[in-house]
Amino acid sequence: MATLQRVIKNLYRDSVSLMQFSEKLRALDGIQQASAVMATENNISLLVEAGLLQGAVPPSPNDLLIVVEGREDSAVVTALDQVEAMLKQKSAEPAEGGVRRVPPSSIQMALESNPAANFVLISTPGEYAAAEARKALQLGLHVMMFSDNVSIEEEIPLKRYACDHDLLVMGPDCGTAIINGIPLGFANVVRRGDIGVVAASGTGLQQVTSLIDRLGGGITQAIGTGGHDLKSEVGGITMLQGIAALTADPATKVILLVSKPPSPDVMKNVLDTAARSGKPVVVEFIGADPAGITSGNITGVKTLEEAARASVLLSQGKPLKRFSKSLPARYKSLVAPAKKKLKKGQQYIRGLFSGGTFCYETVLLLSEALGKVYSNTPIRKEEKIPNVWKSLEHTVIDLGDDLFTQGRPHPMIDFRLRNERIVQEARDPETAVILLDIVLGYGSNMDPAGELLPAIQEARNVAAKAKRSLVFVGSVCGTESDPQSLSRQESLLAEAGVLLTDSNAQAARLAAAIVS
Amino acid sequence: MQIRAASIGEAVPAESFDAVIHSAFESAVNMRLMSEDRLITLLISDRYKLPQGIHVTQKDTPLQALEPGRLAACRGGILRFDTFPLSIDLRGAPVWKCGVAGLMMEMDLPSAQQAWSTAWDVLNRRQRRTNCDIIADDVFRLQAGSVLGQRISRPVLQLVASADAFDAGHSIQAAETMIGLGPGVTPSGDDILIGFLAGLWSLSGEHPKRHSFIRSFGEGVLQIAQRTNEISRTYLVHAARGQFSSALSALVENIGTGGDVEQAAQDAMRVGHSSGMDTVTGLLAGLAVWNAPTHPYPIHLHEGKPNSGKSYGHIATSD
Repeated sequence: MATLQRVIKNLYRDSVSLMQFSEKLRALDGIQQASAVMATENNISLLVEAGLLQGAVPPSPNDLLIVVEGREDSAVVTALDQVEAMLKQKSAEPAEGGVRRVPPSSIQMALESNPAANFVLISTPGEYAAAEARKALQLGLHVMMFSDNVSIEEEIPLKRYACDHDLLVMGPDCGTAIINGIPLGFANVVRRGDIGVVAASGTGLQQVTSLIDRLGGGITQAIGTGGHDLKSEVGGITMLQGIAALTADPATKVILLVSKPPSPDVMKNVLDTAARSGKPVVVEFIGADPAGITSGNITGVKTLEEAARASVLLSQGKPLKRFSKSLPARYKSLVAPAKKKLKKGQQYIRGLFSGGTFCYETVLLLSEALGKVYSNTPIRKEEKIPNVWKSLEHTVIDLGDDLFTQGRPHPMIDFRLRNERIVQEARDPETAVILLDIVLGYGSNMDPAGELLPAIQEARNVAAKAKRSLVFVGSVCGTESDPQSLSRQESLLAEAGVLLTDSNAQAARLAAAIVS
Repeated sequence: MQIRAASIGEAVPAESFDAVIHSAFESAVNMRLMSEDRLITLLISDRYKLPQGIHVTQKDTPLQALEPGRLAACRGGILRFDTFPLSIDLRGAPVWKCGVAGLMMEMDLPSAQQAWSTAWDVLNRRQRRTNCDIIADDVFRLQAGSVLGQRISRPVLQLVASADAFDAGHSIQAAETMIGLGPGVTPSGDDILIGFLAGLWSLSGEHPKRHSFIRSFGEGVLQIAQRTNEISRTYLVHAARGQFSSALSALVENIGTGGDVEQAAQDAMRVGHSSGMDTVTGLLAGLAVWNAPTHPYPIHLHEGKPNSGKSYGHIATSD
C-alpha cells in the first residue's frame, strides 16, 4: 500500500469541485482512498488520525492538500498528477469543445455572438464615439449615442448616412430612450401603451413618459434625438425620422414631441411633417407660444405636464381641455402654512436641479410669475448668473451643466454637490424656498431621498440656529415600477417635510406662490 | 462591458480602492484589498448577498476570465480590471447591511421555538438525503457516523455548553479544535462557527452579559482565524462583527418572525456543497444557547430520550 500527498499552493476551488475531484480520484484504477482539503492544522490532524497521512505536514491553510492512498506508488503518482492537472485547468476553458468564449471587444464581434441584434448603444469618450457609430451603421445597426462631446460636423454625416439607409441615430448626447419597452440610459420603467414620443431632451422625455404612466397612459416608443438635432445645421433629421416611424407604427395613436424651440426652418419642417402624420400630435417646444403651434391635428402645450395630460386625453379619445395656469386646490392649501414659516427677509427661491430641462422649465415659469430669475441657463442674457457658485435673488441652477460635472458623476447619480449647495443656501438669510427635482429610473441614484434627507436636515438645522425656517418644494420624476419606487421616495421626502407636487411645473408654481 | 452593481455590502469600500484578484469561481471572484489585507467578493447573484460582496445580477458577467493575480482598481465608484474590458459601476448601488445583530430574537416565544424545530427537521432531512459527513441530530447525540462528524461533535457540544455558561475561554478552546476542519474552501468547522455566531448575535438584544460574551468570543475567533484559509477567514472575521450572508440573515429573521422558515432554510442550505448545511447547523446550535426549552439536546431530554454521561455546563452528553 502506498500513500502520497501533494500540496498545491494558493489554489481555491469551490466545495462542489473539490468533492468531485476526490470522487474522481477514488474511482481511478488502483486507488483506495483520496482526499482534497485545505491544509489546515485540524484537517492535517484529522487525516493523520484517519491513517491517511503518515507524518505530520506543516499547516498552510491557503494551500490545497491532496492525499491519495493506492496499491502501488506508480498508481498514486499518476493519480496525483492527473488531479493536479485537472485542478489547475481553467474551468472556463473546456466549456465548449475546447473553445473558450472571449467577451466581445468590438461591435463586429458582438454581432457575431448575437447575430439578431439590430441596435447598438454607444457610450465611449466622445472622440471615439463617431467612429464606432459609423461602424455600427455600416453593419446595418440602429445607434443610440449616449456619448457627448461629438461635434456637429461629425453628427451630420452620421445622421445623413443613417437616414439614407433607413436607420436611426439617436444622439449624440442622447441620455434617454425607451425602445420596445426597454428603458435605455437614464429612463423610467413605464407602462406600454399607444403614445409615441420623440424628444430632444432627456429629462423632458423622462418627465412626460413618467407622467403619462401616472395618468394611466402608456408608451409605444420614446425616441431621443440628442440636443443638436433641431439645430438648423442638422435639420431635425432624427426627429423627422422619429415622427415618420411613429406615423407608420399602427400601435401608436398619439405622437408627442418635446424639445426646446427649434430654429424656425426646422420648426416649420417638423410641424409640417407632424401635420401630415394624420395622427393627433402634441407639441411641447419648451418656451415657445403654444398658440403659434396649435393647428389642425397639432396641439401646442406650455409645460411638460400639459404635454403628458394632453397626450393621455387624446389617446383615450377624450376632448382636450384648457389647462389652468393656476395652482390646483390641493397645492394652494400648502401656500399659507409655508408662508407663515418664513421670516421677514426670506424672499427668494433657490432652485437646485439635476435635470437640465427641469431647470429650464422652472426658469420659464418663475420668470412669468416673479420677473427676474438668475440661472446658468437663463432665458434672458442679462439674467445669466455672474457666479454660478453663489446665488443671487431668485436663482435656479442646473447642476448637470458641464461646469459642475467635470471630474465627477452627474448629479442624478452623485448628490454631494447638490447637498453641499442645499446647506450653503440655508446659510443665506434671504433664502425662503429650496426647490428641487428628484429623478428616478435606471441610471439614477438608487435612493435619491436617502441621499437628500441628511442635507435637508442639516440645512434645517443651519436655518434654525439663525431662528429661521426653510421651505423645501420638489417633485419626483418617476414611476412605481422604477427600481427606486416612486411611492417610497415620495413618502420619505414627505415625511421630511418636503412639499411635493406631481410635476416639475406644479413645483415651480407652488414655490412661486409661497414667495409671492 | 460595463454593468451596474445591484448592491454592495456594508464592508465594501465606498469609492476608491486597489485590489488584486485572489481567487475566481464560476459566479464569484475574491479580491484582496491592498490597503487592508482582507477580501471582498464580486458575486453574480440576484438574491444572495454578502457583507463583503459587490453584487451583480447579470448572469453572463465573465468572472472566470479574471485570473488570480490580476489587478483591480476602483476610482470614483467604478471598478475596473487590468487589461480586461469589464467595469462595474458601484455608484448609487444600494448598500446592503446585515441586520442580524439588531434582531433581538426572543427564542422563548412558542412561535420561534416551533420555527426552530421546523428548521431543524428540514436541515436533518437534507443532510441525510445528501449523505453529509455532518448530521446535526447525530452531532448533538455524539452518535456521528463519519470520522469528521465524530471529530466535530464534541467541540460543538462544548461550544454550546460554554456559551450557555458565558465561558468565553472554553468557547474559544472548542473553536480552536473546529477551525479549518473539514472539506471545502470554507471548512465545515468554520461554517459551524459562523452559523453559531449568527445565532448568538441575533440573541444578543440588549443583554450586556451576552454582548460581553460575544465580544470576547469574537475576539478569540479573530485570533485563531489565521489557522484557516483566507476565504474562510473573511467570513469568520465578518461573523465575529455580526455580519452574515443574506441567506443566513433571512433564515434567522424567519425563525424570529414566524415567516416561511422551510423556504428560508432551504435557501440558506443551498450554499456550496455542504457549507450551507454546516452553517445552518451552527446557527440552530447558536439559537439554542441561553434558551433551555429550545436547546436541541434538552429537547430530546424533555421527550424522555436517553442520555447519560459527562456534563458540559448543564448539557449532558453520552460520553
